[in-house]
Amino acid sequence: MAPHLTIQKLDMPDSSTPSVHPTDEAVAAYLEAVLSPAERTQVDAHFGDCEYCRSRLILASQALETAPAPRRSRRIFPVAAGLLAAAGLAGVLLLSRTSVQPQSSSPQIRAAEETSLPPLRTLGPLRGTAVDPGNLRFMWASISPDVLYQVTLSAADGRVLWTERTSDTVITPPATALRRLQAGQPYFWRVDALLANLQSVTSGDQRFEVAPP
Amino acid sequence: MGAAPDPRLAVLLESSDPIAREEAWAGLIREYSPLLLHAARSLGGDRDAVMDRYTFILESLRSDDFRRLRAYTVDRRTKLSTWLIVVSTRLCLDEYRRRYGRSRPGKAEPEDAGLRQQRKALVDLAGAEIDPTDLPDTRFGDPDRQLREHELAGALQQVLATLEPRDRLLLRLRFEDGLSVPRIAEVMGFPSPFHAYRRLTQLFGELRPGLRARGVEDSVV
Repeated sequence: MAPHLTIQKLDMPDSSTPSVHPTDEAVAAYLEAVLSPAERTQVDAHFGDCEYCRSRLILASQALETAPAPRRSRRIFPVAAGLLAAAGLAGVLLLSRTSVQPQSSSPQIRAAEETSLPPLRTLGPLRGTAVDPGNLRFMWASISPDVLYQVTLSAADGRVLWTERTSDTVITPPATALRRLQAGQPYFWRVDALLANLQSVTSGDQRFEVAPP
Repeated sequence: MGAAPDPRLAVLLESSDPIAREEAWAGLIREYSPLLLHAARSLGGDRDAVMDRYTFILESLRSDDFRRLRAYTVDRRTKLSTWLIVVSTRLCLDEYRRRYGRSRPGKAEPEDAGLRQQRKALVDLAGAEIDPTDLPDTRFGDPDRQLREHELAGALQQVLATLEPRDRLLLRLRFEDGLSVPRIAEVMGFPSPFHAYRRLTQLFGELRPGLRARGVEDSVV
């Protein structure tokens, strides 16, 4: 029997009705039709009275209907992952200046999304290295001319410390961001991009440490 | 019975090796980033807006030691891809509502937004007060149509209260949210749009006397 499936209190912004709503797990189970009849009745009752949760349901249903298949790659386990990391292989996400065509996903778009892309190679700091913050620069190989990249620096708990967009392939965090780094602590950076044809690639999080003074 | 667990989730959430955890996270992102990006696009907007949402989704999934992913692993009756879509669209919706208020993105017509809010306030039994200064400007509107809207909302609310939950949801999706019947069939899991049409027709046959008594003639406003 599923635990805590249906109604749970969530931290929701100004919902119109009750402060308890189905969990994300419950909504996913509803959409996959795996709720028990009693659970489904309970969730139906809430949806019927809660505009916010109906919005959740509708958006998720629409997105599911047109969602691309996950990019299937070889399952990478830690040992092999280390080798691949050393080779600098990763998924890449590219940014473009032109605006996307939102919402509907045509077969052409989905085909573009599922097409494999050349990987974006990160050049530094290398994964797992200790870095002097005074010399910290993020570098990666160019994917294509006239592309915007978004670089994000995060703490180990996921907090974003700094993010910036650039058309270059090297960027230095500002002093305000560098001052937030603590010696001996791990940090993560990644570079993302989105192509004009809606293909997406990301470098994935690259781990580094700040060297002691 | 349930979705086969992704071994990377176990590594990500349970391993004591930080490098292994990061590799697992990187692998999950590589595989599911098209899905998350698709969810980020579902609320429209230009490329910057989409990327902002995508970044927000990743940060939210990672925050608090992957708290949301841990909640998924407790109940694994669904596929990870389905759950990611549900979580991602909700995160984007929450962010949108924080910025722009409670209307659903791309749903309400701007000129009806004020009226829709007032109608919602009228039918909302929580008894929210209505600020007269927020009332729509009727100098250029149709007072009769607005009155009709209010009357319809009240009649519908009374009728809905008597229905089974599933039927109430069906009517809400059709009348409150303006979904097409094929879309409703998708959302509610009807075997086909025909089944949804049929149930809707049956409902009106059952409820028509009560609705007509309250001035509702058909399902089209």
